[in-house]
Amino acid sequence: MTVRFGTFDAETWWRPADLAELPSVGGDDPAVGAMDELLLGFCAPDDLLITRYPMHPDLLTGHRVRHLSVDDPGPGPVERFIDPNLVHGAEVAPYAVLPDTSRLVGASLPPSEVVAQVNSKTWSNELVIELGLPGAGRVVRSPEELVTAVTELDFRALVKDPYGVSGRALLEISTPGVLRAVERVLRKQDRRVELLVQEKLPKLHDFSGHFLLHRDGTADFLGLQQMTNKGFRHLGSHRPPASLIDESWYAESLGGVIDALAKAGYWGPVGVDAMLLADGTVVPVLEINARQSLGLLTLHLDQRSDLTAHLWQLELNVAPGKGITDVLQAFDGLLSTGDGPGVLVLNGSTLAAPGGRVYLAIFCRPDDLGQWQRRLVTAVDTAGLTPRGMTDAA
Amino acid sequence: MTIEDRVKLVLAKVLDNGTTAEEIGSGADLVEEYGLDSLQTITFLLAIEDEFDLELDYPALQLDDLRSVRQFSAFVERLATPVQ
Repeated sequence: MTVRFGTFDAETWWRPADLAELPSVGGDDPAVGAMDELLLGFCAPDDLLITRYPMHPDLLTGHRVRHLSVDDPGPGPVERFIDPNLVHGAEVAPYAVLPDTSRLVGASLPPSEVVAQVNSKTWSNELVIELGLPGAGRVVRSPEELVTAVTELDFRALVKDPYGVSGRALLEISTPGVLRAVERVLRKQDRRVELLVQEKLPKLHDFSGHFLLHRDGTADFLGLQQMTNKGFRHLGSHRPPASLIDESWYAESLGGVIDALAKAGYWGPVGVDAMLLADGTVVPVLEINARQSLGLLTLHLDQRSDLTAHLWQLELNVAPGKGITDVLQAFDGLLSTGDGPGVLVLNGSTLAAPGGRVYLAIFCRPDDLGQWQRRLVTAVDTAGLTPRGMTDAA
Repeated sequence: MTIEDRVKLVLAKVLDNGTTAEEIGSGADLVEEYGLDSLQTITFLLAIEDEFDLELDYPALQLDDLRSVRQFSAFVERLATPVQ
């Protein structure tokens, strides 16, 4: 029996408070707090899942897991509100190790300071340089250095926050006017600048490699995931075709990364984001996620059957009074837990007007994905839950 | 070209999904209809600053009042018009 819980905006809690932020709009996304429902996809029978909010019982149907939600969650990670007796002496698998996770669980997890360090893009970029891998960027520590770095790249530049908090993770700077605006926003804050500047390369595909790094420094390669993105936003992932990349070669090429993570004192799940360029070059390390991830979740779901599991996000406009029950009813006859073709709804207990995001696992043969996506969109549309911005999603 | 036409051109470029400026309706809701997410929104705003040579005060922006192209264009027009 494993106890599963977690905080999906882990980067918020790893990020040093004195760092200047890239321009952003809106506050934190409240829906992120309810994303821990997705951990249900990792659960084996009899596992204990602890979530921040109560889950809709229909989402738990057929999973044979024990579920609890914390009482009266306040601000901060869910780990602050979990009864220590529930995790004492148990095997635990948190989404990520935050300072609050360390306080709750203790020394059976790597120290949160180490986890924060190896999740920083500054750390992974230094490692890329040290290992001589392609695709290294440049860390800038002042607005002046930012201007120089972007100008030297002739405005083919991506600027990334070292902790990539959702919604304020990166910007493309392609004109002098945008650079001036970013520079102005940074200067106004009068805080410490630490940003990674990378050249925007002609990308063909995004993918990620997943490992489980053991405490003794050995690692099991778990597999690859090909990501579907909309611009820079992650929409979903699935197992890539064998022709995309040689899995064994990629696993071996990350040997230095695994050694460095172990040497830094980390153990646990690792997802390495990478990309394949139009000319066939592989950029093997774009960033390192030393935590669980949506790619790892999809790999886990993929093992349920011979079908391919495709993770997919559906953004819905929701009328007052409607919610996840209506989504589940719309998919009546199309639902599956992986034992046959169909869809598994992974979250959505807090889905309400005016709308939100639902994560789905579609189990099907790879060639049938488009057909399944169209079928699901038609189903929610018919139920009066209109999908947002669907013109290019499938 | 009107301010609204220029806003639509910037938006079409940010959406980058084949939608043309001519296809964007003046009353269309940027979030509900075009699924503009937080990253696309900030990219759109930075490109608006560039296009109109404006300075936006990001922390003070009330985006809920600027969700249609028409509303947003009126907001840009107010900023772009020098105070008499």
